[in-house]
Amino acid sequence: MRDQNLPAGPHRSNAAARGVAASDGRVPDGTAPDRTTPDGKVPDRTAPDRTAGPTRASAAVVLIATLAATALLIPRVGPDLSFAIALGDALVFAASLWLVGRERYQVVGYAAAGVLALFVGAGFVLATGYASLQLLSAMFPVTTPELVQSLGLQVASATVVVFGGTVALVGAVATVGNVLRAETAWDHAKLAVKTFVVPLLVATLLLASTVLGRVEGADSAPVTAPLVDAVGGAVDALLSPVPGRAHLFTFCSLLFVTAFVVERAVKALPVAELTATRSDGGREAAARTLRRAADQAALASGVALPVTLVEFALDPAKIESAVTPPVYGLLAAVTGAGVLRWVLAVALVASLAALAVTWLLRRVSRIDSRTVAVELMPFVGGAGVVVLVALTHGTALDIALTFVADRLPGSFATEFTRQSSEVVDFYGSLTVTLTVAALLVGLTALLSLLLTVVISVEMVPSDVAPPALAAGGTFVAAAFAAGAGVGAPVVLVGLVASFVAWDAGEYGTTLRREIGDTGRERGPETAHLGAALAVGTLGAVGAVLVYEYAPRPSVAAESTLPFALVAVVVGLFLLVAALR
Amino acid sequence: MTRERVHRWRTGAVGVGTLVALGLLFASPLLLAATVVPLSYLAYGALSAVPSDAAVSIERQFGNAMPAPGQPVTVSLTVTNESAATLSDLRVVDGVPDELVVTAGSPRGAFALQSGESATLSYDVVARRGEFDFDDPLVRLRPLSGTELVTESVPAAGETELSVVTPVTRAPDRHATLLRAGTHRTDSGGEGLEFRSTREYRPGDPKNRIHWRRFAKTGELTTVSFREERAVRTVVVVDARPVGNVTPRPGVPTATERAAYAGERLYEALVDGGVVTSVTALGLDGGAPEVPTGPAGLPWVDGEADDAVGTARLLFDAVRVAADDTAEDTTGVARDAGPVDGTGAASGPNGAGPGTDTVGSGSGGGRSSEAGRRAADGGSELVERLLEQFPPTAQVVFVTPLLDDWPVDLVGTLAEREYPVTVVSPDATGAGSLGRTVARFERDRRLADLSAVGAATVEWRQSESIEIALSNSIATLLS
Repeated sequence: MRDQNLPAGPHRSNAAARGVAASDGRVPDGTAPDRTTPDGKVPDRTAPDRTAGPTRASAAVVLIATLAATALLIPRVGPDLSFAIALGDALVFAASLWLVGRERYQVVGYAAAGVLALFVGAGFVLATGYASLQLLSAMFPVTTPELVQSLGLQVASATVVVFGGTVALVGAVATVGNVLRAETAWDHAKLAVKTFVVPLLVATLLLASTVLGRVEGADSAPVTAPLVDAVGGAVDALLSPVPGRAHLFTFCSLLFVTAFVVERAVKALPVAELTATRSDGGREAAARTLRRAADQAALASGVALPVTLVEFALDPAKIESAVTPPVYGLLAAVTGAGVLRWVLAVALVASLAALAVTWLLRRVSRIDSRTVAVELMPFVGGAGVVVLVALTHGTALDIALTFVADRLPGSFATEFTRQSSEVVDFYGSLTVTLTVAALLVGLTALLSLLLTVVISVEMVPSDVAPPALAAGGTFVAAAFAAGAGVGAPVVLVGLVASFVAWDAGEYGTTLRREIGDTGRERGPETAHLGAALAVGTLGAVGAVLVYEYAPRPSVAAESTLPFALVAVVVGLFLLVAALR
Repeated sequence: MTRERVHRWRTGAVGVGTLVALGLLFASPLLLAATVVPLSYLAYGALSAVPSDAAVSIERQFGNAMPAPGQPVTVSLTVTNESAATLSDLRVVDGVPDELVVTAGSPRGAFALQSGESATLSYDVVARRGEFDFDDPLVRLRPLSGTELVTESVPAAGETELSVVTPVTRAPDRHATLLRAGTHRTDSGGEGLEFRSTREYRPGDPKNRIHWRRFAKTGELTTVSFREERAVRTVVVVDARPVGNVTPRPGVPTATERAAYAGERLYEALVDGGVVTSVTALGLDGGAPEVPTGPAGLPWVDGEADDAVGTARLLFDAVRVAADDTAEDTTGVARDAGPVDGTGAASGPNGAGPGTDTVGSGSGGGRSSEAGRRAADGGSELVERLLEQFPPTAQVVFVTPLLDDWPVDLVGTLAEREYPVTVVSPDATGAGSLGRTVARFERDRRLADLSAVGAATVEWRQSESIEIALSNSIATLLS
């Protein structure tokens, strides 16, 4: 019997070159399209591409099944527009992933993907939020308090249906072209984070300038007052301590951090390169002296730092009597000197800036201009988001606030309108809109990071991640649709569609990996997918029969738990049989 | 044969658990009843299997049993279901030798075959010199649910070896025979057929050369002298410089390989016709230690030597090895990589030739090649070395892909010294890109330049059989 687990390598046997699968059904390296023989030839230019995802036919089945299921499910629990928004969001997300996965026009692609990150997050929030708000406005206010819990559960279920449907649509669209892989999800996450930084910084600056510009009323600034208070207190404690007593801990901490950072900054500076033409080496000697001094200061303050904790345990009077009043007076003068602390703070900030600039310059000097451009393009995308918001903030904010207020029930709408007006009046519509935009881009980054984690830890199989997302999202949507009051036919269609989508995606991926996508594999593909659909249909018919004619279980009835247990036991039995 | 289970429907168990949990959470009988759906898939996966009597037969055929190097060969693989059951998912991968390049179709296929039904997959490979064994095709079966794998190598009936023989090892091809023995008249007197002059009889002159009519008239014995006919000396020069290691498209032989093949076939035809043929190759740079060298240090097969044919075979082998070594030395610059400047495979007389590249596919220079640097592939020095080894009178057959201007310089020098030259040039340019088009135009210009200096030119186009080029070459040589 031939060994089917064949080694990779340029001189491997033909069996490896022919993509013989390992025991898990996956094909080891050897079918990569760039495989060459020892003489540099590519023996089979039609060798399947392991990163290409499922065959076109299977990808089409995944897409159609998911589209059909979500088109049935989402409008049943929310407005039709939610489905359209979810589909649009999926298309934009897939487009972003495609852009970051391309080699050509990477610079433009990254900038465009950065701008699209805003729409990905917005679409997600719009699709789910719109459905939730519509349901809330339809269901509330209620006549009796007892209905709150059940209706609330219904609204929550509907929200999960829309959320699941959106995830499913993202997976289905991403299946086409296999644009969602661990590496593209990670690249997109990094891009979204960088894009997020720009509007966040601008929004923060605007917020800070608004708050600081109204110093007298800063403690009454809406939303941010507690944060302002906390930040202000910390800055005061650090730079303007209460006179008349020693502030050992804060001073030592500041001195330690400053000395450490200064030493690092001086070490990182290219002093030797910058002073190469000077013959006396004076500046180099000065730099060495400064580094030595900073090192010693950091060491001394670091050693003293634990000792300074005594001021939290003892009264200042006791400390004074322990060290003698003259010494305590000297310590109080030195550690309480605001000027000295400001000098240390300025030195700290300057050193941090020097470190950042040096690091950036070293990085830039080692890489080519194209890579630098690609690295910077997400920030350009972030700037694009800022520009977009600057152009549309007035109209967009009005529409959004009105939309939300119109759909909130009763007094919630009144309170929301009052609060939102206060915030907008204090900070301005640009600041508010930009902050929201930054948060939406941050949501996109979070979603991409979650996808990366999910794929990397194999919560979904990495080579079939898009179909797995499509199937999983559809399943969740169908399951929760029952809780949202959707009828049996639609729920069952959704469940069958989820299994068919999963089967088509996984089967098509394996088929493409082993054989390719030449069109000759349609026969077995059609037979397989037809059988999966037939089994699902039979299962759905069986479920209808059970639902219609079996004794109706209910949570209150004693027959419910045994029914559920039977289902679980049968499932386990079949699982064990399948795992034999 | 290996048989293993694939647990594709484990997700069904997850589905069951999720639906039960949600059913209890929502107090929904529908969700509890819906567990029948994932349970159905679980049962489907558990009960589905590949038929135990599954059997497959395979037959392989080649479209051309004796292809020439560079010719495409269509390989057809017919798969038949010999079992009583339907095989709904049968995948087959043919055992293509690593050395052969698949240029069309695919050696992989997936079929659903009823009992007794057959299906055929076809693909093209590019023939190369040598013999290449195909491995047994690998067959994989799955049931409809895909939950089992049965993998087995199935020996293929029919063809298992693709052979492309070398010319000097096979019987001469009579389609390329000479029309007559290669002879030409000289001005020296001796045995022959055409009257030249008479002289006084000397003792020992053959009786059949005595002018008997004159003796009858005058009684004087005189001897007739005829124009001496000599067998033509021909020198075949094969251009194996690294500049020729380019291809018009991936997978086909390089220009050097085609030049070597054409030179070998020409040599065979000339030897068969009784022409004394010497052979040399340029660009080997010491890569033919078994071949004697001439006075100038270039490998030289003397046509009058005892084992000239055997030594010529060694020389042509060395040319092939040199071309393959150059391709290996530039691993990573595979035969379809490294675009070549349309103007310059023109490495020129001192050229460090490129690695194995595609002709004229766009960008240029700066290519590095160990083989290129090791070969002394041009320059007036090489021309002089060549001329040192040439016999004083010989016709020269220069087999070169004409990818740079150096062959034109060589032919010009030969023409100045009144050597009749025939240039046989395999075409390695192509179309489809600006660079390739430029390369083709430059080659055409060089052909025109060669004609201008009086050389006869014979093109071996890519779409032509070698026989046509051989026939044209021989006809030109004999004209």
